[in-house]
Amino acid sequence: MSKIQEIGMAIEAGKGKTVQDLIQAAIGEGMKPIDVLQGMIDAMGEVGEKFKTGEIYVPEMLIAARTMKKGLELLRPLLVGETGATVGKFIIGTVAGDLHDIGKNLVAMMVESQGFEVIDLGVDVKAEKFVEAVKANPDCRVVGISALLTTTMPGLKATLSAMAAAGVRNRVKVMIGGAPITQHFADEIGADGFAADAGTAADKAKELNKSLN
Amino acid sequence: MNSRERVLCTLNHKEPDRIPLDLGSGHCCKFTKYFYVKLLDYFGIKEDNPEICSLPYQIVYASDKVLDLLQGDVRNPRLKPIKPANPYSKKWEDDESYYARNEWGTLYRMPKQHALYFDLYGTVLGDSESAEEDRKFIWPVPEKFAMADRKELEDYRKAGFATMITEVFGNGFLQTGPLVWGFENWLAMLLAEPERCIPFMEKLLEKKCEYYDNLFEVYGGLIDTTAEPDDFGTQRGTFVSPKLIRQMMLPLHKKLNAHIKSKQDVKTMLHTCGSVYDILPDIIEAGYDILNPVQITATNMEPERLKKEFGKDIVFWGGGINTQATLPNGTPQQVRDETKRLIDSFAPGGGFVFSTVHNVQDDVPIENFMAMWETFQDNCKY
Repeated sequence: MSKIQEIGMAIEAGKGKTVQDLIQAAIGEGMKPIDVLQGMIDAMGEVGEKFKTGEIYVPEMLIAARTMKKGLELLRPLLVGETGATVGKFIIGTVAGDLHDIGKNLVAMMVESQGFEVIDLGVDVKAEKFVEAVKANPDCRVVGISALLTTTMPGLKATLSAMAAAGVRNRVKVMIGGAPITQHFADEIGADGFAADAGTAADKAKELNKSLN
Repeated sequence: MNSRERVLCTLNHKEPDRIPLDLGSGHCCKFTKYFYVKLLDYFGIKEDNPEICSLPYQIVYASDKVLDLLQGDVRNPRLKPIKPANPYSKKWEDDESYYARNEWGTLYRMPKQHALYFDLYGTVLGDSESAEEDRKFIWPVPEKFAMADRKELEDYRKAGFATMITEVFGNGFLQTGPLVWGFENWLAMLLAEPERCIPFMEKLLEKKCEYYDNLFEVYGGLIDTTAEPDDFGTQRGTFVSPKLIRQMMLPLHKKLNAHIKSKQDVKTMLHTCGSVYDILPDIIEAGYDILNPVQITATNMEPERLKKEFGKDIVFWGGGINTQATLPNGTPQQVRDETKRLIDSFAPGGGFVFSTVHNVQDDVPIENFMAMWETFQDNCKY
């Protein structure tokens, strides 16, 4: 079994210490950090796929994503200046008035696991704050906004309107999600994408990111 | 047939004179504060400061006057437990938000402007990394009750209503851990460090039994149904694998049901949102008589499927209207059509108490609520 395969298996099994040891060993053997990163991204892609198809559940995905994070902590300093070290930036937050971040955090983890630099604005994010974040990150192409409550769903449309009014709506693709959200609702308010779960959200982020390239 | 006879009849899977109705009383069948105000306006009733029943969800105890107008068959007494001293319980505010820490040490926050709920904001063991650190947690003591408070339930019994206790000790076996460690930590621990979770859940069972003993000591003989929450479901499946639920949580639910039923002749309800089709046979096997709120739009939770496969073994209490889309955002006609369709699916043979899929939220237009209620009235006779 290759080192990359071993790293992938340790990520899936949620073994943080093992992952760090394996990464160190791989680098020590002369493997390029960027190749190690790609191996880890591929492993998390598998995890996302298994979550999408119902083969694994939230805890399995959580421990894999946490392990990926531990691996990235070690790998990131080695990737500085490498081209292709990140696929792009992803701004995420829950909509104004909504403080529920379990789903948002899962999406952030899975998107990060696919090589994005995630800018997490947290919960109860006012429309202006999304606008400011897009302005402050001109290289960001994808924004994710979530709402768990039917009562905060209208805030999604308001955020898109605020982005349009500020002239930044066309600079980014906006994807939305959350328990009461549907593709129909996303179409209705003019969002660019919808994902029903964190695995799909990571795929959608990659797809939207490419579409603006 | 009075309300209680009607409810008991359907709980025994027989058809009463009409479908029993629970709006405003039972577990997750209640109204949020601002929706309740809309309802009061509609009826032209003035009530000052409706009593909040659950702080995080901002739901109220509806008055008997409102429940009578709605012709509800169920009553949930306003329990007044004797609160034991607790080191965590505290309420305060700053310029922007209200804060409340419950007896589990869970910190909730509600912004002062444009906010509808208190949301989880922090936990006592959020940073704990070992069983050693977990021992710092100070367990809450199950509440006791006062004999003087028996009267409210006695009056409901005399008036012929079915009674439900919706207050519980903590939350479920899956869902209490998040109150102490935080959601993500707890879910990761269940898989990676079950040795930290199992003793906690076992102790929770002991305390829950003690709570029911205290409850029955005062209210014995006056309770028709109890309700335990344990949200196992998401929109598309279970939070954690059915295997883990079967291994770790449901055996404890089974012991709890056995304890409750050894003490009182009651029917027990499990409240779990989301898609729980995969574990419904196990929920039934654990001794639950009733499922609530029956989230019909979650994966594999179609009413026809549930009724056909499990209708003889479990009562559906809820499932009357989709509260994620139709009730808040549909037209009154869409509400009528869906209500009628769901009644037609769930009602035959009994085993159905009509209610909304979860508490009625602030954004529900009164026209939609009344369209649902009128459709129920037009179609509730057997």
